[in-house]
Amino acid sequence: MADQGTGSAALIEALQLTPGDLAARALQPVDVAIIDSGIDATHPDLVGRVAISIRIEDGQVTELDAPGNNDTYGHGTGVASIVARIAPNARLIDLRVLRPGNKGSGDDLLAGLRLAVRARHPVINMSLASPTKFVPQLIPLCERAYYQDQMIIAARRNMPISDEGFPAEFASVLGVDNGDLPQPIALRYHPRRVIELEAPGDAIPVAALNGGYTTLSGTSFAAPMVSGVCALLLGAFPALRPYEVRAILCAYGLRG
Amino acid sequence: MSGFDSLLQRYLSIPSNSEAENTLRLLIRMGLMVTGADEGSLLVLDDTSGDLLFAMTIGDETSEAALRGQRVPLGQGITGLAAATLEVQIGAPTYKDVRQSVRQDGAASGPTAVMAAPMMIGERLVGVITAISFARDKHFTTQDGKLFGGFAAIAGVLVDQGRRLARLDETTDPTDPADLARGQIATSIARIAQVRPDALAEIATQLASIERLVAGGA
Repeated sequence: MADQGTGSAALIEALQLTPGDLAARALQPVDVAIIDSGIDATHPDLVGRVAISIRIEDGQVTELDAPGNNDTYGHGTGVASIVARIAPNARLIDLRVLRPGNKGSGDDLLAGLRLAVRARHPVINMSLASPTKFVPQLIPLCERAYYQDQMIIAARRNMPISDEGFPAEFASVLGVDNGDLPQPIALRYHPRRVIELEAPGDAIPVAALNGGYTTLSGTSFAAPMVSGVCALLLGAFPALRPYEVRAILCAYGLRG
Repeated sequence: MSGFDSLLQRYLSIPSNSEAENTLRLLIRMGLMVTGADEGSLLVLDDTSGDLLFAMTIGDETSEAALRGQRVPLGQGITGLAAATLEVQIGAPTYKDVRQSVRQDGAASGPTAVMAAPMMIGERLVGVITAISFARDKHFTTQDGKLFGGFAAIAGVLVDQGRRLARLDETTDPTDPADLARGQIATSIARIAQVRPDALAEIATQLASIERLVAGGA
């Protein structure tokens, strides 16, 4: 077995594997922050998987005494269930920034990302896009995350008009589009696109509120596929740096 | 004016039986056709309450009467999620068992696939359009979402234009001789553009001469 103490040895070994191989290895726990509508930690698929539940409302941060049902929409629960399914070693950090009556203002989303960066969670999943006006604040935050060895995985807009979605467009962030790919974790790499990676995102079976299941489609559900693979890679090879993880994902994507 | 008409007028500045209303209806109908949906609706955002209100349904006349004016809180369902995230949302009903959700063979009487797209003016939400299907095994793809989102984007532009025109109307006094003259000039030029577009260059030259005269006189 290669020396896992150095990133380059881990990189070489990881490049020879597939996402499926990774799941079968001994994995260290990896924190995956889910910045979304919250997570229903009482769902059978998520019981024991959510380490921390936090609500951010108008900039106020409240940590729940214990993870419970922290989701009213089901979007974050669906996203979290994908990460949990792909990466058995993922410890989910629930950062709820979307609540009833909140019309995607973006302030709370920014506050959630700030919190995740400050806490140095190694993987941060953002299946929500920010309004353009927050771009000047998002750029340095995402840069800081990159230099702190954190990976932000963000979904492309489902319906891009003037932009592909922020922060998905940034070079410091791994942007993910939805591709017509086999489930659960095939990837496709497009070296010349702003959004380089595609993952499956059509009719994805996910956990729903009240203990049920549903199928959801869109880039929101492709991004957690990649977040899950990142958690597997970092669990198997903790010495990997974000740019190495990115290179491995791209290699997986070229293989199809 | 019916309740439905007043909802479109009140929240989107679209008068009843107007070209804008018909175009909006046509847009949603086309959105349903290209995505293979059975029914659709338009909900307008009530900024005061933060709720969405059903203002128009397409595909089933009986549901329009039943749904018109009904409120959907922003925190509810896929429609509320599209409004909150300002993103197209694509989903299906919830099942109790994951295998059932994969097969999608729930009761045919209920919806099998749902989709909601925000209607925006810039980055501001004005409403949501929805599409539903009752067909067995149907699910909307992200490509469907992009198409439907495109129709929502055009609908947003239509609403924006309607509002701008309404604002223009508000600032124009129909009894003011100057406004009347402005209206006459605009109507004449529009008529000439239709029947004698070749004459427009000459008119522009003459108007420029008049403008110079007026400026000189001042």
